[in-house]
Amino acid sequence: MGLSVSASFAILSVSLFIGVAAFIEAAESTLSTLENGVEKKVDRVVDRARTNFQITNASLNGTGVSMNLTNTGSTMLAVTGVSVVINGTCADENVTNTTVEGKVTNLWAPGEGLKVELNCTAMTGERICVVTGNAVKRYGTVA
Amino acid sequence: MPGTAASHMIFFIASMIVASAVAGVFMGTSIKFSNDLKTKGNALSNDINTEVTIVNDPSAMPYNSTDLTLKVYVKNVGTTTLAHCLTRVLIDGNYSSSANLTFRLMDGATAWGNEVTLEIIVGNCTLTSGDHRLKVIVEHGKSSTLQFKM
Repeated sequence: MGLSVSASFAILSVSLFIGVAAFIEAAESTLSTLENGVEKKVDRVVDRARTNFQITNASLNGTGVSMNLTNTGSTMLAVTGVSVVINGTCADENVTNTTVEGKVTNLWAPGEGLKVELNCTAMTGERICVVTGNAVKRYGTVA
Repeated sequence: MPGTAASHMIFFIASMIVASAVAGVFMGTSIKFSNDLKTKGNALSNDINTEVTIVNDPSAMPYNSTDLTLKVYVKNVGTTTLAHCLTRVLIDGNYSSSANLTFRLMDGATAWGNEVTLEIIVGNCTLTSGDHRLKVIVEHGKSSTLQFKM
């Protein structure tokens, strides 16, 4: 009888150990995943709060529109993340040239000016909407 | 004496069977629960990291009243790559069936990753002049809403 109790106790103890270990591993992994997710979310929210830019000017040139934007926030922005909507139509595929302070780069640092040239049909007074990669929008008109 | 030994043997085997069954059920439940916990954690993480925004200008929506189409531009501003074909559109609360939606990733992108814009052409869409509400729902249940005027 004593042997039965001891053996049963041993089997149950081992299973309890394995079960609890599996649960702890899963809980640790889940918490780590969630922690990373929340960190990324917080980074995005903070970046967005620190992002600011203005459309300095947007004018017609010979083949389309030329725009100058200034990063007035404190976040480094990606040039490739910038979308331009002219008179309601997204003109991302009409961008012919982008330069930051005269240089071809993807980094648009705080205080720097971004020049975007687009090959599209536009008219004076049409609305322009510029959206950064982190969803900050600004509006202007073609002068 | 042989009878006592036999009964002890029967009790021993029975207790082993019962203990093994209980241990098996417990371990099976624990492992299943652990796997479910991990799956739920991954789903929550994807949910947290999914974010989109409608790029359209609310005062200049590209609506074609002749062929009844509306172009909607949606930018992925989260950190997860999304399946664009799972995107659904509600205009003024009315569901646009998937047969009426045409998707195109802009700038030659092959996947709807971070900072990539998706063009959705909503067909069979009748918009009268006035204020409207557009809601785009993407994978993981996240959505973006835009109020616009025609």
